Amino acid sequence: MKKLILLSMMSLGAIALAQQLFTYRDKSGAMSVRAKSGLVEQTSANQVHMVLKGSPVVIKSLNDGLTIQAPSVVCDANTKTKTKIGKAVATGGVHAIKSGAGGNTDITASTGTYTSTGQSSKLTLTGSTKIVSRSSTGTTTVTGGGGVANLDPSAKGSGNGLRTATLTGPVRIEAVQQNTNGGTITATGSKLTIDNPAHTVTLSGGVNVTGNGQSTLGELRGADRVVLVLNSQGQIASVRVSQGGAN
Amino acid sequence: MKSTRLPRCLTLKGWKKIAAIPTAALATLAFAQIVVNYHDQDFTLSGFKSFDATLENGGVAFKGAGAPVRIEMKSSGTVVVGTNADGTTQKDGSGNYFLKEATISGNASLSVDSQLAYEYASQRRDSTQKPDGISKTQVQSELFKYTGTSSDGRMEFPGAVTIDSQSNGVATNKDNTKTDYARVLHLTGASGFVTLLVNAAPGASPLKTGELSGPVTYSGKSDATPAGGVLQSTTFDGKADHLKFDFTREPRTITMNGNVTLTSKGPAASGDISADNVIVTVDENLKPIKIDIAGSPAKTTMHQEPPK
Repeated sequence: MKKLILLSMMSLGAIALAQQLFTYRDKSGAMSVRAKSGLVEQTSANQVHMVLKGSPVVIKSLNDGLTIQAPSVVCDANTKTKTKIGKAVATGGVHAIKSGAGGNTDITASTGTYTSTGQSSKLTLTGSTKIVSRSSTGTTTVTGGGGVANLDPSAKGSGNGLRTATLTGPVRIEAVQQNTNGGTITATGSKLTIDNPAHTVTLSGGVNVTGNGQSTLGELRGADRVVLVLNSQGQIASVRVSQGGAN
Repeated sequence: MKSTRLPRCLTLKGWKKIAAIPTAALATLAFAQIVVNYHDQDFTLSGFKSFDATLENGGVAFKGAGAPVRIEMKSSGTVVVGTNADGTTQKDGSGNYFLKEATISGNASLSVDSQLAYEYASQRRDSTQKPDGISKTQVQSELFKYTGTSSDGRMEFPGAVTIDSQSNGVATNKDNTKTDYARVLHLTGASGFVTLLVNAAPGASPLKTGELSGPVTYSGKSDATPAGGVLQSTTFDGKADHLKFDFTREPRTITMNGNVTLTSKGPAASGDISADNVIVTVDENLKPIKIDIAGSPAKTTMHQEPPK
């Protein structure tokens, strides 16, 4: 009861202080919020509902290993054991940063809806989308017109924190080629699926693949389907091409 | 006097323009039909309508079909064509591709063209000095299997095969005089194999060794014009049950067995041979310089000039 009163007071304070920067931090310190205006309310014993606006709103969740930035975010956080984001809808241009044990993944899109359960975390993206995965061995950049990114739900998941992602629209990936000195490979198509546990990126629909000057790969044009096979460092080890149902 | 002006399309100039339209359209169509599937350095895969390929640091594995497919490795002037192709290519130390293994079927052919290799080297500025000679060898069969390295290869054909080899250029003799040469060799057989140099010197025949089972037919022509001299032309043609050649060591020989016929015209030898076994010794330009008949010559009318 005491908690509810405190939060209600805080909410009122937040409304009153609209247009001024406010911050919210949960008890454990695992989640922090910064916004220009908004509402934070305890909707049940283990759930906090937040409606936030800012330039941008920043929600940082240590237990999710995730930071979400957007001009407008509606977020439901679970506070039962460890405070984690249950759902967050970010609009007006979202920027999500997921940390992993071996790097991080930086995602930007027009809107993003993040949902997380104990086993999985999903970020549904719309509009022009960019996913940049960084590790000590290089950077992989993927762009598309929206899709879904499945993130590691734990604070420090394996790799760069991105498990799988599917993007549609004109898609493009640029990644480092293994055993080269500065070689990168760029692939474009109409659909792209990253599967980090399987170490593959699959592109389909009029796929073109090109290596840069330092790459040992040439130019591939108009393939139906291309699988970029990644090594354990996320670098491209080989390119598998299929077209027209080969014999 | 009143002059009548013809409609533009009825003038020669106009007709030329009209005629040029379908020609240009056909050329565009023909060009548009060539689909380049993959290109890197000197290597191009094109014409594949369906294919699987794996592209790696060291090379490319491919399997597919087209009408036809074309596999080109310009640094060696090698072009492979067929309806179906299944093979791997690999890069050598210079980053040039070579065919490591392949099975090609459906009007399959492999050609090694020194002019293509020279043009590629010129484009890359690896070599701008025009070679003294050019050569082109093409092997055609319904199906062939190829295994090779960056320097040589072996082709096996279970079915009928046609081999055409030609070269021309200027050769420098031992006394530093020059001789213009041109030679043509045409072989057909029912099955067999050949080994060939992938990076033969321009103007030199890439054919190394080979065996053809019969019926085998062969024909050839060798022209040589010494500086300030007259053209010496040698022609030969014939048939045999079996033919074997070895151009890798001296003396270079073509050995024919079983029902051999040979008709030759030229300064080295002229006449007709019908025998069981015939061995023709040739020079580096595949010009016959000696003919040995063994076994039971059924009918031979031959004039051989004594060696000079």
